Amino acid sequence: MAYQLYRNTTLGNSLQESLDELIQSQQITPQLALQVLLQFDKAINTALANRVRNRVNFRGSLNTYRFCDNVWTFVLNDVEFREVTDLVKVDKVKIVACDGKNTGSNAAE
Amino acid sequence: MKEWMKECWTTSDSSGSRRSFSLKLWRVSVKTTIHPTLFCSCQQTSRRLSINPPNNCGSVATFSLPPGITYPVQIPAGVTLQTASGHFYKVNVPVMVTRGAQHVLTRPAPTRIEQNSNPVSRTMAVARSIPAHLSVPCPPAPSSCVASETPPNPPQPLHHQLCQQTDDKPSPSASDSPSEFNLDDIEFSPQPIDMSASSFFTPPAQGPRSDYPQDGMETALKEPDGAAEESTALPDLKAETNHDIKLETQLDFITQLDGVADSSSDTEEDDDDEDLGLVGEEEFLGMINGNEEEELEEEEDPLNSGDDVSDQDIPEIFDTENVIVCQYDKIHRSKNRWKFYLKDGVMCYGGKDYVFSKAVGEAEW
Repeated sequence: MAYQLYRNTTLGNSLQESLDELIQSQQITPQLALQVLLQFDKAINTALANRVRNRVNFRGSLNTYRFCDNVWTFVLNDVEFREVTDLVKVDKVKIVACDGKNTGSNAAE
Repeated sequence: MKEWMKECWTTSDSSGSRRSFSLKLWRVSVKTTIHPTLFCSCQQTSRRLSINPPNNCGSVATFSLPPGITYPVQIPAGVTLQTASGHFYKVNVPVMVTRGAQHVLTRPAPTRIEQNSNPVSRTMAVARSIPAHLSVPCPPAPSSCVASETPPNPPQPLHHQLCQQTDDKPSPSASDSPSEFNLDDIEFSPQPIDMSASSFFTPPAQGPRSDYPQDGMETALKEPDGAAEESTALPDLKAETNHDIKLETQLDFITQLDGVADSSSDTEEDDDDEDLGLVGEEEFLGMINGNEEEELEEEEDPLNSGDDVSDQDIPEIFDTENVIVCQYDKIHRSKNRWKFYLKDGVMCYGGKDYVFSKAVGEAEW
């Protein structure tokens, strides 16, 4: 079972909102919406693993760190993200990282 | 031995239901929480039985064993021992008097001591035949018997406890009377004897006192100096006092320092503290606070302020628009330097979305 981690992305949130609207209008059942989301999880994990080939570096100051249920959660301040092409500075950024070694079942966010 | 013991125990005297037994020169040091040290010394007896209660009452009772009795001597529970002066001491716990001394006098049996009304009064033969149990001898101390409730207790520590001499006690009788021998290391260990006896003997706990006066016929209640050193390993010793010795009187000298008499109560009692040397916890803190109150207050403010570490920031700190969801290959930390090795992530910051297959970051906490 793929991580449901990516549901809290712009793309994943948009999908969930759309599904909720369809459920509200009773065009689809909640079970169907759940199946759609599960399919989304598989697709996004596969796409990120196979179709993305870039590298990013970042540097900043660590505000908080948390490790619970094999999930790291960081909050960084004054972070600079460097990619080959451009540089982006952010005052605060939150990083949620699941274990990349064992892609076991992940609780929905 | 047991048979003889039974005979002696079952012998009834004029007191009727009591079973009295007179022991010559049989020194048993017992330790109880109630009974004082009973010490009765027989003048011309070779052995003395001293009973040393744990509460430093100081009375020592010496009993002499009848002749022909060899160690180990088992005293079943409920046996009443009678001293030369006629005091009765009830054995509440079966005890076993064994001989473990290195310094056994190989003298003939002592002469019989005077017994008030004891039908059985015989002196035991000197322990030639008694196997000498190796134990820590008490060099200056006279013979002593350790009565312990718990057989597993090692004899040596008991003997150490035994080796206590009161200042008022003269040197061991071994050197004084030829018929006496030192029972330094005679082990007096209680053993469960299935005998029902109404009489009782002050159950020995540990650290019995082994001092006996040089005069044989003394029967006195003395306060041993070293009674306080007796151990208190034996738990829950029953002490049925049928005799006239009132051990509770000894307890009056013990000042209660806690409970009702706790000085660390709300009311400050400086006198009590000074006298007893106790400082209640509250008072102790009060003393500190009183002396260093100003300093503490100054320290408390910074301390208190330090405690307020983002109590309100914690729920807010995670509410941010810039979120990176990814997977981690490795998270490394060295002191306060963190290194992140991430992969397959989706980043959303600055209103834009980014993806990466690998991300390496450094941050200082």
